[in-house]
Amino acid sequence: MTPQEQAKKIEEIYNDAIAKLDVLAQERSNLVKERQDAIRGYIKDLETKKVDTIRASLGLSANQ
Amino acid sequence: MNAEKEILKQDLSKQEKPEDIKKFIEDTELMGGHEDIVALAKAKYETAIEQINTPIETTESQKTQVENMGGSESDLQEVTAPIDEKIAEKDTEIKNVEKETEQKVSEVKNENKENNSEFKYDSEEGRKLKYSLAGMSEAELLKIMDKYPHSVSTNNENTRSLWADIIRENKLSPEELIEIDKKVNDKEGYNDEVIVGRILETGKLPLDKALEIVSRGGGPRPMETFVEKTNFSNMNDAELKKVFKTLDKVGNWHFNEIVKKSGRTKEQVQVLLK
Repeated sequence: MTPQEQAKKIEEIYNDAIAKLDVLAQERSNLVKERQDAIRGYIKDLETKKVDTIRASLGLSANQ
Repeated sequence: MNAEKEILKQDLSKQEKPEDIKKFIEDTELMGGHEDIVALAKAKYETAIEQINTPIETTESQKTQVENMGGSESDLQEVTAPIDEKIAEKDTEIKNVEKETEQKVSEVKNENKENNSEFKYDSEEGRKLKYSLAGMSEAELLKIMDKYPHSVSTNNENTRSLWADIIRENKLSPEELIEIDKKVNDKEGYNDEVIVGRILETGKLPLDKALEIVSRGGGPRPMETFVEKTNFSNMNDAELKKVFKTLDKVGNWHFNEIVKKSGRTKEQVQVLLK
């Protein structure tokens, strides 16, 4: 194998890996977003519950 | 060239996105002769990939928010656990791709290394080894090589002829001859008749090494040359006994000739071998 052929072959291997990594990186990025959304959702739920508790303690209904 | 490299370095520093860096690598590789720049670009590309894999963590501010709202860190962990598991699986997949890639690249590199371990005229290492073995100047060696313009490997006729010619120059020490024998014959798992013949012709090898070469076989020439070039009359009884014992193992059809050259009678040799 000439150095050029070797370089070409290694380049193909890297290109193949890069293509796979691109897909996996995108999937991972989506999961990271999903995780952040889950945390925000959890905090939002806590916030709602806390507001409801305060309202209840003040004798206010949810609509007031 | 240095100016070009400087320009390339500056260009590279402008690339931020992985796809841009990849493109830059491809373009630079096509240009050739800029291995250090390519290595730098590859390193940067790998860094960019690493950045995609930033560690996942819940920020301090989020933890504080949770605590202020009456939640707990353990409850938060329960919320994120299923997703963390999926991310861990993804990380494993990414690691597997990286491992697989490293392995494949390493295989290609090793494959080339093995191929190149056979001496090439255009290989600096091969050339140095050749003329250091032969004790020649590069110019002298190149003169010989000119007769054999094809690229060489240890298992083709051109190489054998080249080695044979180098040996025939008779400038090599016993150590160098042994080294050639090791490189050319042992490596290929056979006894090359031409080269072995030339090595034995020099008559420079220690007896043990010469006998070892002859006992490997490789046609009639090694033994014929050994018998022709060896001075048996100078040998003591122990050495002569060693010769007969070793050659007997591979079929010594030169028994009478060796006896004659040793200056002993058949009877004396028979007593010796008892």
